[in-house]
Amino acid sequence: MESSLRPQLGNFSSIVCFKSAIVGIEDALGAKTAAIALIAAGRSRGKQLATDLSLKEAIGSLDEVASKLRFALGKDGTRLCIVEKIVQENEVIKVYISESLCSAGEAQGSDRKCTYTLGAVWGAIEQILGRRLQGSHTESVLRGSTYDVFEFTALR
Amino acid sequence: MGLFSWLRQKWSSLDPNLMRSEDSCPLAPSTPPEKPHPETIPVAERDPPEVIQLPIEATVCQPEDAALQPDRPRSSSTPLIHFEFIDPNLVNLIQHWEVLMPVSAANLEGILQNFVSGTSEVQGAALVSPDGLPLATSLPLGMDDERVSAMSAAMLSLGERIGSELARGAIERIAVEGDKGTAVLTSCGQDAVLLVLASPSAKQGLLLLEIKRVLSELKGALSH
Repeated sequence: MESSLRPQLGNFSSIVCFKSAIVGIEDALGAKTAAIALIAAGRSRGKQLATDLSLKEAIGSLDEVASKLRFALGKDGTRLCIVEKIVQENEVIKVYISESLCSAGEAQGSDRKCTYTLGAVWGAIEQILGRRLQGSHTESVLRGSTYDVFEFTALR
Repeated sequence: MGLFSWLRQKWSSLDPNLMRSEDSCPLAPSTPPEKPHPETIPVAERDPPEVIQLPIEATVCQPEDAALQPDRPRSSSTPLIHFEFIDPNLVNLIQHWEVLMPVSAANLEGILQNFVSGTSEVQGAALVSPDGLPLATSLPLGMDDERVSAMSAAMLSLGERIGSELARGAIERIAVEGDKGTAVLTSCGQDAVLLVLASPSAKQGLLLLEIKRVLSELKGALSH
């Protein structure tokens, strides 16, 4: 964990402010443009995170990837989300997430999709596996699922 | 038009009857071809030229054939197609080419590279998915294809938003003109966005024509 970036307030900020920024960007640029930008920002962050933590060298299995990401992004890390598990089904890698930043504070039934969180997990897994992936948010806690689920397939 | 572009145009309507076995391709279809190889027919007896039958003979090899030419990079799922080019009079065999088909990143990349190298004022091009992932790129050195891709998709999306908010209708293209050149973004169907970088001396009309041409080529490749 890096040292405190602010003397009094520390490293954490309110989700309310971050989400206001997202909503404001969506309002100005449109939801699609905002999503592209936030996913790209998340991927960049995820790759950087994986590089900084030398995750690529340390990983032997998807369980280990989940454990490392849970630590880096979870309660003891940046608190972006909790990576519950990562499983592979045929060609698809599924990442199960809870308490994601993107879904926080949203009403049940909201059609909001994870963008930055999806991108961060996406970028980290791409960096760890050394493969280009296509990612999507397929299940949401806002729409009846127990977890937010991100699915990744190899980009051909 | 370059040989490569010409080949790609012809591919879309290639007559499967022209596929034939050949020694260098042991996994090619074993069924004898219905028509004799044009080289074996006396010139006087050859059929009148037909656009598709005239210039191409093709053989489809399976991916395992990659072992025949281990130095040639290809994905494990991409078949290798051998093409023999015969001149318009069906007299001389002039070249033997190989192309990786069907659509793959390498295929799209080939179209872009051909476009960039064959059009003097074009400095680079990228084909991007609507959500900002690079599908194929041929960009100048130093440009990050991931960043360029995300930016391109975002720019076109923003253009569509502007078009909608300002009641400008459907957006055909977006051009950014600077003192060091032009960047033109064009929608390439539902599946892709094309970015083209051109030098300041590029003539706009010609550039748009070239873009239109490569767009149809890319759309054809994407639809396979």
